[in-house]
Amino acid sequence: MMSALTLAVVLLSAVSLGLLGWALRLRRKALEARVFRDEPAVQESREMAALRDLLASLHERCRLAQDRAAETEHELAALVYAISHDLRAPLRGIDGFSQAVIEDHGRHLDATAQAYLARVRANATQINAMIDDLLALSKVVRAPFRPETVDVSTLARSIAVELSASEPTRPVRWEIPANIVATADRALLTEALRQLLANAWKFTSARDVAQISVCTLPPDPEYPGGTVYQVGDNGVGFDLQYAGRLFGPFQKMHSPEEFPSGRGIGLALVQRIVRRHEGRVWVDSAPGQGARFSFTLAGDPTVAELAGVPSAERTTPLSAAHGAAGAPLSKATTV
Amino acid sequence: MSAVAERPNVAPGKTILLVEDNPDDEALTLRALKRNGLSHQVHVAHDGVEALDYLFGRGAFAGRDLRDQPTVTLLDLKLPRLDGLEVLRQLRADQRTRCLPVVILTSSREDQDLVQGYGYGANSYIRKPVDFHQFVEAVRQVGSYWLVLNEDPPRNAS
Repeated sequence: MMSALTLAVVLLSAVSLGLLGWALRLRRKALEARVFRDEPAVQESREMAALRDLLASLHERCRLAQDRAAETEHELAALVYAISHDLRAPLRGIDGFSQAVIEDHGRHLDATAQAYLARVRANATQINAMIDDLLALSKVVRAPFRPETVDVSTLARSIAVELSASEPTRPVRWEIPANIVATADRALLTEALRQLLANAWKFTSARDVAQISVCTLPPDPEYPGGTVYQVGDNGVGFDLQYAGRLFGPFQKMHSPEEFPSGRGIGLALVQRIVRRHEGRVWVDSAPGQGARFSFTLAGDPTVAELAGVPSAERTTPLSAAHGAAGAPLSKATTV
Repeated sequence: MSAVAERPNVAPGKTILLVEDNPDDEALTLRALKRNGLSHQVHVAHDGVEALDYLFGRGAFAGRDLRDQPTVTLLDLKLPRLDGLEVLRQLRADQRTRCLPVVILTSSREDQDLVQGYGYGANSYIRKPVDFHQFVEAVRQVGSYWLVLNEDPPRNAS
């Protein structure tokens, strides 16, 4: 009885173990089959997850960068206000009290002392003008940007009329063909053209007949960005070797004895205006050979395409901080 | 410019309140007023609170005869304690001072200050020139306009 029971238990156990082993084998096979079958899907979902993570981190970095840009802009505005208001007060003191010494004690001062005080005042005046220049620069960077179709020919011609009126006796041949148009912020483009034409006007002053032209050129393969606008003159020109910082504020190519007016702010303004259009500006010149300033008023379309910027967003350049880093681009330095 | 400018024909009782915290600017403004024969008619307040105390006859100026208000107030914008715009806002909000002529006289040429200054009811906005000759000339013109040419608001309107 006992042995029969034992036998039955042993047999049952053996059958159960066999069944269990078979089931496990089946299950392993099924698992293997499924893993094999589903492998691409698993890999794909892993990639998706990685992409999602990457996207999320890019979004986060983008948000941080925007925060930082807003912060920088805020600080810039505060700095500009401080410059505008607080730096002028001590300058007024320097100028005013120098003048007070001249007025109240001038009779006790010799000619040299009087001349020194005049220099003190001239320097105060110059710093004041430089503050104005810096404010003009910051205004160009912060001004609202409203692109529209601008008649460049009419604009350039009206600036030419203004310049001619400032020295009516100067023989200047203006070459400004009709129908030059651009998509640009009118106020900013006006300022840029005014600076470029005023430069051309100034640096052709020694020519028997000055020639100043405005024209367009087909897109430059080296600097994609649509139509190239060019302001050319037959003035004194300059050596490109020394033009590396031409577009920086207060950079001058000529000595004050040669050209006393100007503090080297015009091209810095031009460059920042062009940047706000996502364009580029460069110059071609040689001593005695005049100068040709070229610029575009749009970004490189292929870059925008690669970056995946929707075309509607491309018409408005990013914030003022955009493109602020890096050396000013000029053909002078890159060629 | 001659050292002694023509003295404008200012009627007696016409005064200027100069609100200016910077002692150098105060000295230069007084000098410019003196050049134009106007310095004896000036009261100086050195911050926004002092200016309001003077105009409302309170604090150190409690009991001041408020019929004797300045013909024109030359108001700097950046002031300790209470800035110029706030001074202007409070002046315009009070029946006694809402018509007082206020000329903002400041170093700032920021658009926001111009917009806010006029928005708060400034009668004029003058940027202090750095060049002292120009400054003297600006003060001369402000003085002759507000103290001589301009008709004061009627007393009961202030």
